[in-house]
Amino acid sequence: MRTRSWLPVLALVSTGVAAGPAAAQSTKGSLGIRPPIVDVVAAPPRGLPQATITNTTRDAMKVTVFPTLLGQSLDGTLQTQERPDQLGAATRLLSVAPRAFTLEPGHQRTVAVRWLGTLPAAKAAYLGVVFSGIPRRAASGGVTFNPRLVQVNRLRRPGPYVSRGRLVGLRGAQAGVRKLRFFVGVRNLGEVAEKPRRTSFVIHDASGVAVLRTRWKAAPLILPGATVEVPVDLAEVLPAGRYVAQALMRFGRNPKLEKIERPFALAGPNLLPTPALKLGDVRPSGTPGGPAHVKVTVRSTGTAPASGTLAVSLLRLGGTKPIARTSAAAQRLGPKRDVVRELDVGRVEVGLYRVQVVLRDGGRVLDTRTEGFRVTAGRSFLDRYKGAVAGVGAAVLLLLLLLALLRGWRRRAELERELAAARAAQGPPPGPPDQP
Amino acid sequence: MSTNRRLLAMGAAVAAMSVVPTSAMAADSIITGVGSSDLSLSVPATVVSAGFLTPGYTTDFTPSPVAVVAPTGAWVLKVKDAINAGQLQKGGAANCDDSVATFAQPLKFTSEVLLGGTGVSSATAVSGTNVTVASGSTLLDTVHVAYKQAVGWDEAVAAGCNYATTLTYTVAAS
Repeated sequence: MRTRSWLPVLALVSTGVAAGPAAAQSTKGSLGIRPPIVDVVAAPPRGLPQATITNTTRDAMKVTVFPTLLGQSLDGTLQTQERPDQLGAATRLLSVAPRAFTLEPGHQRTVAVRWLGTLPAAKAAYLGVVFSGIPRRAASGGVTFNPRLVQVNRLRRPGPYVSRGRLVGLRGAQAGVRKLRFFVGVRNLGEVAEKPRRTSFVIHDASGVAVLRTRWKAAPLILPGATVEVPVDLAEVLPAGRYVAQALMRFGRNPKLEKIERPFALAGPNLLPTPALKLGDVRPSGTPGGPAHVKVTVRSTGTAPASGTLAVSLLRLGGTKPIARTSAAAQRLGPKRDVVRELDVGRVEVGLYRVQVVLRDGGRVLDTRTEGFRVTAGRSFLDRYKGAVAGVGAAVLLLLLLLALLRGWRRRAELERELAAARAAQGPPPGPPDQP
Repeated sequence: MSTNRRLLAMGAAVAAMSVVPTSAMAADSIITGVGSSDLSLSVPATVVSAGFLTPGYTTDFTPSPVAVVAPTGAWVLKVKDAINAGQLQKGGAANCDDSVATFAQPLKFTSEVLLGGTGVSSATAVSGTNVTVASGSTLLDTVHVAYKQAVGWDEAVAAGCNYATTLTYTVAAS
């Protein structure tokens, strides 16, 4: 067994954390671990390098340490998987000791890590060790922070392994004004984490001439079974027209050339007809005993028809678990068009609620919105009766008033007619006296 | 004939290796810790609202920087609120009696990375699951995270009533 010496690393314990003026001036120190990544080729069970955790903050830190399985997001970032069953599975593959302790300011502590095995028939295990710190501090208002650090353990059994990857997608996206970004989807079908290599990306115009050649850079290590979208930014500006994008790679140790092609069109210089959806107004309302009524506007803000699904959750204000859920689709919404969806969800009583609306394109979250609303008591039968009576009364009063006015007007007209008749019966009025 | 069989067998073996290549690694075990320094995460000071939380207004919180030291250069910082799912909770002070327990809108954040990593420019809600705050590729970087809380016009908040929650920042090297 060959083991790299850890002494130079240990010497950096106290300097690594405090480095950087921004860190020193603006924060309360750090929580640090070492080593952050462990690569091992060995047969389990066996001990792994001890992890060291250092607290340079001013607060004592309650630390818990636990192993997790690691997953990988489409953007390549690793995710700790922390459902109870997943945590249980992780503890069968990796053990840590101690699992909880208090770390005083300026102190460090080592944690023993032991690799116990792999999942059945697996050639490798990709496991995280989470160091979760909770500073001891007085309760106060505002937002406080707990630091968590994840050590990544890439553990492989010796011997042969399957190395295979496939290109599973190629899509373009508008990354800005005249900026095109393509995403090459790579799935690792092998048994260990590996990277694409000898990559290239070519764009052919409508006549089949290669107008652009580049490489994809910085592809991450892809876990077995995971799919990662590797971004490829184009430096050149292509005019409007029809093209074919082509991505090529070899994966890991496999010499086989993998290729994927997708046609695409540009509506202008480096301008993709890109679908994009956003949420507009979200207006929830409700009456006691009925469903919450949610009026959601979906806006197509891209340059191509777009489709998405709306997921609406009803929660009590302050609650974290939805009372009810519903969903609806927004299909093939043309560019710059809006569509309004009206959804009923759950049942509400008098009180405060909120609705969470999530707009998705497949599994991708495009937009989210949370709106609160108040459900007030509706009018009872008696209230409605009183209201109706009051309304009828007011109408009758108004009618009587109008009749009185009409009668007064007619009476006045009659008097004027009588006065005119009397004047006519008396003859003409005497003229003015003669002037001398 | 036997030579032909051997050639066929060798050809089949070569073909099989080209489809399922094997590691040239011997049974010897190798342990390699990557990086020459710690992975560390600063613990920001508690951030408080820049003014009183006021119904009908969005209040900014005094921003607080988070320093990340990553040995390999590539890191990702995530945030979640495991207990309150991004909902600020009312404190227990006596003057809070007439205030709402929490708000309809969750706490939101934006982030900027000092040395050129990728932050989050549009206000993003903190939730009960990890949300990426920033990623970068420099050994030492600082992420400026700004928080804001919208308070609805019908959400009563007594002056001086404190609201609080605790967020968990997670950093991993990649």
